[in-house]
Amino acid sequence: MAAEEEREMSEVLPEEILKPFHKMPVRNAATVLLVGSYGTGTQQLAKAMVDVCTDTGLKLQVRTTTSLPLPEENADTRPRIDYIVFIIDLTNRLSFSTVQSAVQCVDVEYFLGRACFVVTNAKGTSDQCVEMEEVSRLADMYNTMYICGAIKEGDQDERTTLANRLLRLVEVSAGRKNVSPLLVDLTCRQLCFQEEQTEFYTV
Amino acid sequence: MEVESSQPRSTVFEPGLCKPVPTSATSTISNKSIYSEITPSHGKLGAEEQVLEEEDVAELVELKGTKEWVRRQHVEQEATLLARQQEPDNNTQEEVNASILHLQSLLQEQSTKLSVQELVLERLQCGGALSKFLFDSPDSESTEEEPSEKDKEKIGEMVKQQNELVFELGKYHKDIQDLQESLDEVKKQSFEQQVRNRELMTRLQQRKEEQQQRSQEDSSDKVKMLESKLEQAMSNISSLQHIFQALIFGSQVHWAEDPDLQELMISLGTPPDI
Repeated sequence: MAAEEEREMSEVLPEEILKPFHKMPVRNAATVLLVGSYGTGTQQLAKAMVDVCTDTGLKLQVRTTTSLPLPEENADTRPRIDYIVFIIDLTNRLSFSTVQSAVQCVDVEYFLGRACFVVTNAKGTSDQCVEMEEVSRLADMYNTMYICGAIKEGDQDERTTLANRLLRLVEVSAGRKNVSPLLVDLTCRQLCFQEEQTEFYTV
Repeated sequence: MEVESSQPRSTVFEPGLCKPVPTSATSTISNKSIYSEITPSHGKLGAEEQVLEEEDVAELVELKGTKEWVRRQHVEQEATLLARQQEPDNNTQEEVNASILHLQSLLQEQSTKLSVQELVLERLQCGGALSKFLFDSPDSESTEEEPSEKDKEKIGEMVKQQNELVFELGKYHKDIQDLQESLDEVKKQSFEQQVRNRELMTRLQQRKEEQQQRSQEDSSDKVKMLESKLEQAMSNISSLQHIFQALIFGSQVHWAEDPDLQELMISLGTPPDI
């Protein structure tokens, strides 16, 4: 797990962009990067994913960071990142702005089925300071799906469910399943670009 | 049996990307076990040799899985490379969206085709193994014939049952299809009805409004007419009252002495009031 320092980003240098095909993949191993600011529950989610993964025979490495780009010191020893999870807490404005700046440091290849957004605290609307519309707009802009879930202490079952779901996606992008990440991404999203659908049966 | 992987073509869309693992590693184990039961020599192998064979099988499965994984990674890398080599056209956003949609639907089509082919292949393999089990007589002793007959009967019954179930399934499918079609028609008709109703309602509303307007105009005209009639009647009454008064005066009758006449004169003096 790598703790990263925050950096102000006016411009992103090409070498700082995270790319999926930069390094060789490893058989029966996968690395997930969780990007989320402090307080979004990245550590709990990482632990849940590792716990869920113990029976599957996959060597899962979960790395967490509070911002991108990742520092250069660990660049050589760091394995290939197979999947990136951006965590947005709707009650934490900073988490949203962190993710907004982090997505700019990720290569577009990741947004073809190797990344997703996880939205927490989507149920209670009273504490929210980030609108769900903003999140869906961000997800549409990057053509990536978002999953609503819960990571906090009291939601053990929901955390496990979320971890399971993410693990399925990670397995696909690590090449363990018979489908490509692109196909999974395709079937998760609606096959139309916000076109006006003809209301044939509704009056 | 192994399905050969197709060579990737020189387009952005890679059918190989979505190709599933042909008869995945686990099913090769099951196929092997069917064949191993058929071959007569298998029964004569020792326990050690059986264990070794199982280990070999596990190793083979592992190698096959690794081979498939490497192939998938290779195909993905090649696809990415091809995509990057393509020159970006100066298309509008809409054209790009349309091409993306088209490619996505192609991808889905191809993957479903391949999955169906895979299923058909599996079915053929199972069918082949089954027919071998049923019809290829092994070189065995006579005592082994009876149980195999029973097994054959059992399998024959199962196949019959399967046939019946498939037939029923086919019937249900057809019924569902017919019902779906009729449902669609009914929905269409109801929609048309609703549209017609709406038109009629708007026409009805228009007519009502017109009627209301007309009645308002009429009523105002009527009122005026009635008012004028009333005025006329009032003026008639007052003029008649004056004429009566004048008559009584002119007749030189002492109307003040007669209480009735007095009352009459007074009532004639009061103007009519409604």
